[in-house]
Amino acid sequence: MFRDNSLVDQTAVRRRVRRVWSNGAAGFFISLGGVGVIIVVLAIFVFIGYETIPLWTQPSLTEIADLHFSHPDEVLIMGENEYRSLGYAVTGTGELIFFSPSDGTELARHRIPSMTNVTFAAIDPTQKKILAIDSNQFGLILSLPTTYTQVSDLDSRGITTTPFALIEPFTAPIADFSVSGQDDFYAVIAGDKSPPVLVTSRGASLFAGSTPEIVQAKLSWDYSAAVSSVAVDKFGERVVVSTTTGRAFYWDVRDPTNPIMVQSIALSDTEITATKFLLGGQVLIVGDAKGRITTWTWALDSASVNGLSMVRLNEFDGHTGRVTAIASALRNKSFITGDATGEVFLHYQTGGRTLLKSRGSASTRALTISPRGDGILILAADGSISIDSLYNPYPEASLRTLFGKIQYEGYDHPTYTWQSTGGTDDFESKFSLVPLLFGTLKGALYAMVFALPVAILGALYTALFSHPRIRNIVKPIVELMAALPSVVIGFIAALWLAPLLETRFVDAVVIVVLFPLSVLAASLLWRLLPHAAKNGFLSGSELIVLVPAIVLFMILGTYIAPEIEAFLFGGSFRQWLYESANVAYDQRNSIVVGFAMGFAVIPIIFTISEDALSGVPAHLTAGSLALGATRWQTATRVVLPTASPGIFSAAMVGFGRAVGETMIVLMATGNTPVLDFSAFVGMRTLSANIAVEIPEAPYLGTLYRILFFSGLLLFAFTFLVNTVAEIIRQRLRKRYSTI
Amino acid sequence: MKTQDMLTGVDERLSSATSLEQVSEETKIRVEALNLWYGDVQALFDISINLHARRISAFIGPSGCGKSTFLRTLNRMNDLIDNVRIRGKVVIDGADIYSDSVDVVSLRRNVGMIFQKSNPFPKTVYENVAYGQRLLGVRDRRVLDEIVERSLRQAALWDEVKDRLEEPALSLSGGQMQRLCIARALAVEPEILLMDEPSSALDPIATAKIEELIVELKQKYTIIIVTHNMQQAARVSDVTAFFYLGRLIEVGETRKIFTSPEKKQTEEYITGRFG
Ligand SMILES: Nc1ncnc2c1ncn2[C@@H]1O[C@H](COP(=O)(O)OP(=O)(O)OP(=O)(O)O)[C@@H](O)[C@H]1O
Ligand SMILES: [Mg+2]
Repeated sequence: MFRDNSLVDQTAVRRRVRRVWSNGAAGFFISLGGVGVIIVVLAIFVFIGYETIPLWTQPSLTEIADLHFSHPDEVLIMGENEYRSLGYAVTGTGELIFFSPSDGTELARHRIPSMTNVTFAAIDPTQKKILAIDSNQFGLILSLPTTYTQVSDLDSRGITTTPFALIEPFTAPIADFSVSGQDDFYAVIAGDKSPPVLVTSRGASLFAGSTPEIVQAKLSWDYSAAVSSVAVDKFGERVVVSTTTGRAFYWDVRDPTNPIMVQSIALSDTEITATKFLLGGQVLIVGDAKGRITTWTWALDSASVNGLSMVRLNEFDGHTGRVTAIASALRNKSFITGDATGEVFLHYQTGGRTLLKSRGSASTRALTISPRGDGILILAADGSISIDSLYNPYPEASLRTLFGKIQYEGYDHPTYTWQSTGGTDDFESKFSLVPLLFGTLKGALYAMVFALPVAILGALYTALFSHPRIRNIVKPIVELMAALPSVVIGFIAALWLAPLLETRFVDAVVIVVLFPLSVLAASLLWRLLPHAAKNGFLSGSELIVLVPAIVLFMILGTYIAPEIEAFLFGGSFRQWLYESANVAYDQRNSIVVGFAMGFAVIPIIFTISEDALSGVPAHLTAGSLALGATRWQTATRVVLPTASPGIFSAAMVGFGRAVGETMIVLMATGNTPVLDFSAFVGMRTLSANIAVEIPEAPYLGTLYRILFFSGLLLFAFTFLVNTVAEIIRQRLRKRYSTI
Repeated sequence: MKTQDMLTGVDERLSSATSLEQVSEETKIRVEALNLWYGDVQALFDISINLHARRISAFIGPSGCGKSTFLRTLNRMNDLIDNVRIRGKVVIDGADIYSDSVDVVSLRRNVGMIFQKSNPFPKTVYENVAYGQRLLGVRDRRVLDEIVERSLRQAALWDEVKDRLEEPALSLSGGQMQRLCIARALAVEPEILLMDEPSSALDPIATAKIEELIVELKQKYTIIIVTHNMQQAARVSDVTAFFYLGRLIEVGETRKIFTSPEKKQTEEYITGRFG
């Protein structure tokens, strides 16, 4: 007895152990799968997020070395080569001192020919040409070789000099100096009561060996205030002469022999102490005696002599002391400013941000940014040069530039613009995501306007009204639509639909209007049909009457549309639209996208809605019909509300798909990132933007990371849409839940 | 509105052919030689029966014998099923409901149906009851209030739900939901109520309540009830019809069917020897 019992117990225990084990194993694998999915989604999210993080890292400035010369007061200006392997300084004694920027050791000294007493020296942003002026009204352009890495390279390739005699004497000159191309240079030199002189050299390198022709012109006008700063742009088109009162004068110097003063403008209310053109020559950076930093650009102005006038762009964080030096970067729109208290700030013009502030001790006398933008040299009033490395990889991106309304260079008003690359290296990148977000929503909404009624009404018809045999044909066909590659839809939309719609837009409208009318006409006809005839058909076969009616009306539509177009729009809708409503008609516009993308999302909305509608328990439908409800009443009062959570999901899934859809919008729109509600213009969506831009985005560059960021945004957007949709769906489901 | 007003093409030709013992009563529904096929399979064979006004008729029979199918022919709910073919006549108040000129919607309004599984709509208690009236276009809240209250009282549910009218109908208990469905059917003021095993899913107390209610409703309505519960049939019905394999085997006064059935099959079924 006892033995038996224990035996039974043992097998029972074994069975229980097995059950517990298999239960546990199943639970484990199921959880593993679920957690795995979550981890993968999170990993994608983290990866995309990780790629964008560097965009938000703070720039930094680190001092590498501090350089002290034997006669420190004598240093006037300094520069570096592209690789930061060789630096040089120009001294008042006419020497060129070479040093190593990595440790600050002096390497060599060269004497500048025929210069003994240099009163002023300026360097152009490429740091390969130096303007030196000596006390004898003598100017000299020193040209360093285009590439050099060490002192011996300079010796072998040689430093060329271009001397010229100034037409005007300056006792304490100030000057700005810019270089374009190989040998063209422009300099403005000013200094005392006599007018500034513009020194231009153009076309020098056309014939090797020919001496460049140097043109000098006076910029004379009657204004009493002393000149305190001058600036000339890289192309030799604009000169801005600033004065101690804050007033400045813009000269058009495109004809160097005949400079024209275009505008007199107050850039500040106090002495302008430093001015410099930003990369590209479209923006002037202005620093004044109160430490304020502003930027100005040239915008179209019909009232101006040459069609341009200066307008203000941004104000940056101000310095404590008077601004003493400004240097522009050569690779992007960054610039640095220094003041009399030794502060050095790093700014980025687009979006008007001050990125970095560093404090020094002695007043800043001169600043340069290394050609690659990875370092700066600060010349202090005590003659020492601080060699710093600069980490400033993604200055273009900030929440303001991505989402804010930004006044870009050349604009007189702020805009939302996406224009990542331009024709030139000095193009100002415009990274506003607003038009892309707008385009995404616009495209998706147009698609939904077309898809939602068609898909939901279609689902309603197939689920509730059509004969089961028709349903069994229609549903798989619509689902087959989903298998159509979106590139094919996009292709058809772009190459067939868009041109067709362009010429026959009115036809499309007429057909859209006639469609419901044809359905009404068909149902009227159905009603008039005698009972006996109808009883031959099965319930739900009304399609037999409907389809010919629709086809008939469509054909009718194509006949009357030209008449309507001729009558209402004088023959051409496009022309009428442009002339009367002043609305442009793009061939690839939102309507085309609405049709094409709508076509792509119809299957999914249709399928999910249809499932939701036919999933409504038959006993509810029967209950309603048994109360004497018509099929339509049953559909609208019982089935639709009960299926509403599912239909809502369907709409949201369709919307999500439309938001993320890429190929169709890529092909069927012009991909113009415009902020325009008009249905007759196109758009560019976030997803299409990624597809368009990623091939030309330099790996790990700002654009590359911004595209990742826009991907993240898309991700967050769909996440948000889905979450909201899910919340609403749950609410609806609670409300319309059935037993 | 009365059915007579709605139905045209009154067919009185066959009104003389009635079964013997029920001549004295007012015939509400007359079925003649009704055959029904689901596709190629015949489910009802030659059914002829008279059902009387303000009486409770019970349909009994083993599972699958066609009781529900037959019940559904009386308000044309079989129309919803694909492939159903019907031959024969169903005359309600003198009009053949399968004639071409019949408006199915008003027929169903006149012939209410209660299902085996209670099927309240996912709406409030109030809206469930008001549903049928809203279909008719009644919007006046006072009229609706009155009808809702009256119907709920008739269904013996008023006291239980009068404070919960705005709550979802699905929050009621199973028995309450079934009575709600009855109230919902009563609210459209039908003349005939078809009930397909209305209490099969309910406990004895709820069942008793429903039965009580059915007997109560007899005053005004013609009631046809399908049931598997012999006691129920015996308790509530005046007339009992026994179906077997798609045929109507025997119909007669309940007392008579249960005490001295004429057919052997009936007796065997009632005494529980098969089915
Ligand atoms: N929709 C249908 N399609 C095809 N055959 C059906 C359908 N509904 C019922 N039947 C068949 O018709 C016959 C009668 O079914 P019915 O539902 O009327 O029986 P019942 O008497 O109500 O049974 P129960 O007591 O189990 O409810 C059965 O053989 C059934 O299989
Ligand atoms: Mg049944």
